[in-house]
Amino acid sequence: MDMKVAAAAVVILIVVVAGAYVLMSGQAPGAGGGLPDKVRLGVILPLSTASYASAGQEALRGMKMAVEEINANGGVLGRPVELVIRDTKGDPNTAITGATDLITKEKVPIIIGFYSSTVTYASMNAIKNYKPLVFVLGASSVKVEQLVGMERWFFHMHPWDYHRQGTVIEYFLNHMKEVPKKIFVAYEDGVYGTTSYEYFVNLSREKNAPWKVVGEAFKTGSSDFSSVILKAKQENPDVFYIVGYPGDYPVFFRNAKENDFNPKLIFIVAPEFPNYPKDIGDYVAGVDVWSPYLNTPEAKAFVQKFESKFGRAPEYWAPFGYTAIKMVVKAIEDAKSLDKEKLIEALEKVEIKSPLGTVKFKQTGKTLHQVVDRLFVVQWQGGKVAILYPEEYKTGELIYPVPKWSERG
Amino acid sequence: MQSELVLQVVVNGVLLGGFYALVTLGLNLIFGVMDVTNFAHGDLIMLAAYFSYWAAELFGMDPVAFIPLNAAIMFLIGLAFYRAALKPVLKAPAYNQIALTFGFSIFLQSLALILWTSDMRQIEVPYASRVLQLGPVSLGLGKLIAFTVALGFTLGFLVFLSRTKLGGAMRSVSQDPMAASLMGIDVDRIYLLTSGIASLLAGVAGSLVTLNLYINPFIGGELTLKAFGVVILGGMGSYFGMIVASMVLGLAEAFVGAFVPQGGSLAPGIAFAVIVIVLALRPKGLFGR
Repeated sequence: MDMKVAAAAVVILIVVVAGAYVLMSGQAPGAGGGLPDKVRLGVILPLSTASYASAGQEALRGMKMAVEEINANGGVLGRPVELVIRDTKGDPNTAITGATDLITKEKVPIIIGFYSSTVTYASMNAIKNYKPLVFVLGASSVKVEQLVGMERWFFHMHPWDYHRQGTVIEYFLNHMKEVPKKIFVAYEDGVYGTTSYEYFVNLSREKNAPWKVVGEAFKTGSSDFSSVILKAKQENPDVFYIVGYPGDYPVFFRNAKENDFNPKLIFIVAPEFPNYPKDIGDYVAGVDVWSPYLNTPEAKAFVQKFESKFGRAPEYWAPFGYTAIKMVVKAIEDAKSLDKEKLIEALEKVEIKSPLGTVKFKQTGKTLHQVVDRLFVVQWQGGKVAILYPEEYKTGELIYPVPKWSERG
Repeated sequence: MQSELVLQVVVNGVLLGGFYALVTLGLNLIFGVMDVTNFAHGDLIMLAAYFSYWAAELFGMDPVAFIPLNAAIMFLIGLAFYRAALKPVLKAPAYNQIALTFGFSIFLQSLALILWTSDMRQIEVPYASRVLQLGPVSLGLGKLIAFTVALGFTLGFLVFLSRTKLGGAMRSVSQDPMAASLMGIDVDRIYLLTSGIASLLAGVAGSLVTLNLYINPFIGGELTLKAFGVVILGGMGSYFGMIVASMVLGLAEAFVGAFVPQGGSLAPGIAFAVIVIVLALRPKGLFGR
């Protein structure tokens, strides 16, 4: 009889201890309901419109790679991760509908994605009253930054305009052997292009840069930019700097060649995006947030995996998507909850090694949670990318002035 | 320097205009003969551009050498398009026709997106980016080839229309299908061939697109829009008007772009402003009947 009581006591003790353990490790339902069967993350990207869509698709590839890895390792908090995807079609209204849908109907704990400053601005403006947890991948215009300000629900991956233009000006001013005297800036006429241009002009002035800046707007997606090229040719600049979307650049290069426009350097934003045709894309330099030629173990492993999957090097949106999912999932793991407040606190503390380097959220003085704040300057040389800046990642020297079109093979 | 610049701008505008003429030709043909506005015309060009791209990518075919085959494939697609889609709505109200061709346009875009993704693709055609220097004017060889082929096909087609029996039958049907039918012309067959030939012309234009531009599933939209501008400006159904209007559009874009401050951003809009002005003065277009 005593034995029976003792045995019962032991069983009860085991149950209580095990129960307490389970409760403390967060596996069991907490107060006010538990975790769902799946951890569903909201994703919103441009997946089907002209010049925007390839970036969105690329980010999604990265995200799916991360989800695959996470689920292969048992998911997060014992649950599989699932992406709930909405297509913005690169259109503000569609984006607003999609984001609202994710918040109110799908009730996802966080929305990851957004691309294009114009679309992001409209979306944040429309959904800010919900104070949803968002992790914006794209959008570099400070108009978006000013809109969200010090909101705790806003997390941001892409560098802001001033990071990018600051890097460009720093490079032109202090890292070129010969500082350019005249820079012609061709910029797309949306929010992204115009604010970039304003920043370039204002920061040049602030830094007392010795160059003269001439600016000209263009419409993104046009099939011919000869007129802009001819105007630039009249100005005879040292550097021809184009702020556009990826689809615009090959057209510019082709038109520059056709009109025999030979600046000492053609400089663009995100030069590593598509593999530009070698015959017109070589010697093009530019500023980029990431490079598949980066020499870190995480970057190399990611690039290798991506290449074996898709047969080409990733563009920077892929590691952006990949890293964003990894950061969010790490935060969910740390928070042991999908509760917004707990998730924000956990995100603020997250620090992981990623293909982008060691990443965490930093304050910019204008917003609270910024990931990438350092950019690279690179140049295509013989079909490969040489990293020129920052010094610690340098793999080559700038070719300047570049050969004239007539001198190329 | 200024006069050299003007000359260069004129050349760029004319090259652009020549290409617009070819893009517009098929649209104008279907409208003239069948009285149907084909919103999918630009997307047929997109489809042909992908054929050209894959022929180059998989079999190393030169885009210019591929033109005959591409035109033949597109001709067959045009025949199928008529049988499957156009014929049933020929006598339907214009709204239904618009809904059909517009729907077909979206269908083609979605199909291309599923099959080939939204990635931008470009064939490396080394000679296309070669440049000829003629005095102060430089000419991109790719654009020059596109212009020459486009002009050749446009003029060739006009000769076909005015000199051959089939061309004559097409003109008769375009003027009065009922009368043509009473004269013993098989109107249905003429419609079928018209759809085939319009699609064939899209095939030629598609091949030329890959010579100079990157492609993605959405390039058709801008081409359709430009072609509509040209057709409206030139007067719907008028071929002479179409050629003049193509040049006006090409030159307007080139000049505004080069000489108006921030013109690169204004050019596409200004071109359509020209259309609005012309239509305000001549509601039937420059050469409309």
